[in-house]
Amino acid sequence: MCGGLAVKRVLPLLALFFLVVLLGHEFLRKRSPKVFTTTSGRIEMCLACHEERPEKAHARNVVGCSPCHLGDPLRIDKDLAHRGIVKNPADLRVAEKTCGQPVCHPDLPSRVKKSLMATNRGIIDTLRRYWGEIEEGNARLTPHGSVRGLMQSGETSLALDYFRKLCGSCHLWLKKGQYEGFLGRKGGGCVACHLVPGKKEAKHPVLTKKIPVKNCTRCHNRSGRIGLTYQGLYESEGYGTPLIEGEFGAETLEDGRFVERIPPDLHYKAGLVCADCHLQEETMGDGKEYVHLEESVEITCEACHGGKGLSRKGRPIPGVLKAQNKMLFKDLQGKVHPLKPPDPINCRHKVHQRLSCQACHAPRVPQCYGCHVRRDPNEKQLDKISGRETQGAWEEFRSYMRYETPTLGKQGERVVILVPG
Amino acid sequence: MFTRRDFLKKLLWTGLAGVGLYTATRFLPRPPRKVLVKEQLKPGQILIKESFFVKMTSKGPVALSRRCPHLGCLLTYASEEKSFVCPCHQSRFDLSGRYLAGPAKRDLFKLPVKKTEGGIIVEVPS
Amino acid sequence: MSRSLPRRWVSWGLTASFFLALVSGLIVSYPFREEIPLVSTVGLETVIPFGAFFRAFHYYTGQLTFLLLGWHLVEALMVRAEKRRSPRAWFFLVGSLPLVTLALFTGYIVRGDQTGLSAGQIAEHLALKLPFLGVVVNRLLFSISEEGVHRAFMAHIYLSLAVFVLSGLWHFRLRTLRLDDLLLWFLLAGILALFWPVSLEAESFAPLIKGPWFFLGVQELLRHLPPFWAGVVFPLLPLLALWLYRFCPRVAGMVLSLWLGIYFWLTCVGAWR
Repeated sequence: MCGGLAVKRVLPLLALFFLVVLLGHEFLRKRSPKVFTTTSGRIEMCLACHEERPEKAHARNVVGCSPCHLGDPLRIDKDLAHRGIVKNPADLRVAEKTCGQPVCHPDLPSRVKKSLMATNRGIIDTLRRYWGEIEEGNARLTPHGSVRGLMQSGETSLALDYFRKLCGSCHLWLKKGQYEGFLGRKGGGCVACHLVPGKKEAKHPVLTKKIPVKNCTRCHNRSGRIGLTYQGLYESEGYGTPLIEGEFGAETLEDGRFVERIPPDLHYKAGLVCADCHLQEETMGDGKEYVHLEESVEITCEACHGGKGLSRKGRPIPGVLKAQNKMLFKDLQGKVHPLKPPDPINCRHKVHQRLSCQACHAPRVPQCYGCHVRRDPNEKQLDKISGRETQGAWEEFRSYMRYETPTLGKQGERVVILVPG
Repeated sequence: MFTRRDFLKKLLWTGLAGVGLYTATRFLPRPPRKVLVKEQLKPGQILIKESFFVKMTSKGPVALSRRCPHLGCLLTYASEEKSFVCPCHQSRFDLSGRYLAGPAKRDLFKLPVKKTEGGIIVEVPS
Repeated sequence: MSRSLPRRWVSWGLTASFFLALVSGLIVSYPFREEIPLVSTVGLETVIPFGAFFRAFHYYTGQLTFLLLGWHLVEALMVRAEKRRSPRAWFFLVGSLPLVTLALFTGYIVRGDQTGLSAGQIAEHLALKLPFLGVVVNRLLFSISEEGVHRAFMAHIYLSLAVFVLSGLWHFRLRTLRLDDLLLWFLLAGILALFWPVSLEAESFAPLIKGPWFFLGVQELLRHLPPFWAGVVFPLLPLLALWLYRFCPRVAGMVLSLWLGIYFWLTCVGAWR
């Protein structure tokens, strides 16, 4: 074979060169001092490089990193280890593989995906009705009448364009950090509610069941302003007064709106947060897909005050307990509160039978006068559902906002309060 | 020519090989593994352990082996479909262990369960 | 002019790869602790110096041995080698292929990862379906549910050593292995080992796991046919055809080609899932 002799000479040299490359490669490679495992014996090599410490329920030496953040826990090479890694494991797009793993919270991702906070069906349905795009009548579940449906179909219309541009950032499918500023702090799937900052040394945020009011009011601060009224905040006219040294001295919300302090809700004063009353079947869904809020909400005043501790749908309220014939409420922080029963004379009066509790006990609600919305077809605006800027810019106006005694109206046979928005 | 000596030699070697094989194929006896399940289960809840599932039914806790009755692969739990799935050949079983689809053709094996003070004890065959 | 011997670079490549696989196997077996197989494998990858290289080198030399043996067998058939051998010799030579396949397969089991352990479980159940010999074969080769990877590990070592030593003594002479053959295959496997990491599957709840590449076809067939036919009879068919080749080469050749065609198609289906 011609060239055989040349091959004979070249091969040993190549082999030598290869050995040098091998030595160099090994020298540059990072190795671990041991094989890291969790308390159950599962191998978790992420722990070799990462020092983050989440909270006790998801402790690093019990859960590790890869059950949530995926990736490859058997590797130490950065590129191989980070293949398939997920920054926010709670994003609904991956939640089934992370939070919703069979050994962790398997039923929750499917429930949450059907909940109103993920689908926004009520907002979309109502908007389309008001704008005449769908007929009056019983609300129906439609494939495109949800946030996910709009994301996947790209369907738009006047009402849907309004939704996409002004309402489309308040839902659980929003990727956390997708947009700038306060918009980027919303969304993220499970972490939209359950995540709070951790200690600085821990280098990792913390998941909690004790959801602070702040997490809810990131989104629940528009329309009826429930999140604001509950905390005793009144959205003032935007004048920003008092002016202090030439600067606006009024308190502001994250998005820049000015607020004034008014007496808060009694429950807020007592230290209760939204999640103390609102059951998980309301917030995370009960497995059924609803179109409107009133179908999903099940907490009532009567459940705790004068009732048996059961919601409108018959589910027990977790915090309610009975001790020595008295009804008490234990909040998420562990504090126990007495549950005042309804006034036997006024609340139980024959002529007040049709009244809901709010009809008397809600002293003031936001009244938004002169509500207008305008669409400028020549300008572009960010569609928060698709993430792209499209033609048509919307802006909402009002003449002024007041906090006043609410208007009463009828819902079925009950007399309830009416709040605009 | 095949002599008596040759025959005896062959017999000896075969005998030695047979004895060697007999020794090599014995297992050291081990007692069956007992696993204590401490978790309190709600009715209808599925608990996933290393080699079995535990389900709380109206008649008490039931333990189902995670070994697929087809060829022994470890089953996983598909929560959206409410079924157990085998990742090797995609056999499916419902939550009570009954065979639904795939090449397995039999129900999941039930493991003996005993109630005790700290919880329940499940006996896993080695 | 038709060839009278299989190509020498294939035959000696096979010997060189096999030899390198044994030597690298010796090296990686030292840190390996069979009672904690996955920890040992991950330890080799991440803790032991040069561990990842030797593991990958061992893997690639093993794969090359298997592939070159198949190629060598095809060439032997093309030069009608079975005519120049006694039936007994041909039986044992052909027998090296299933034994090397088993050695390769037990190597996967010994890894202790999800792929390996599931493959081991399936192999154990299939072995038990063999008539008469099932229990003995299982106890010598697998027994994963009883003893973890211990017996598969023993089988992996003994099978490889036995095939190498016996074929070395009787079929090739290790002394005639030339340095440039050794270096060539060392370099080939070494470059593969340095730049292409060997797979390792963590435990997961994935609804689908794929076995070793050469058994994807069997895995697919096991989804449709009963285990005895898909897992025992079907894989033994080509072996039978090879053993009976000298008696009816035309028929055996057709059976082999048909089988290979079906297996290739099954593998594609299984891989595409």
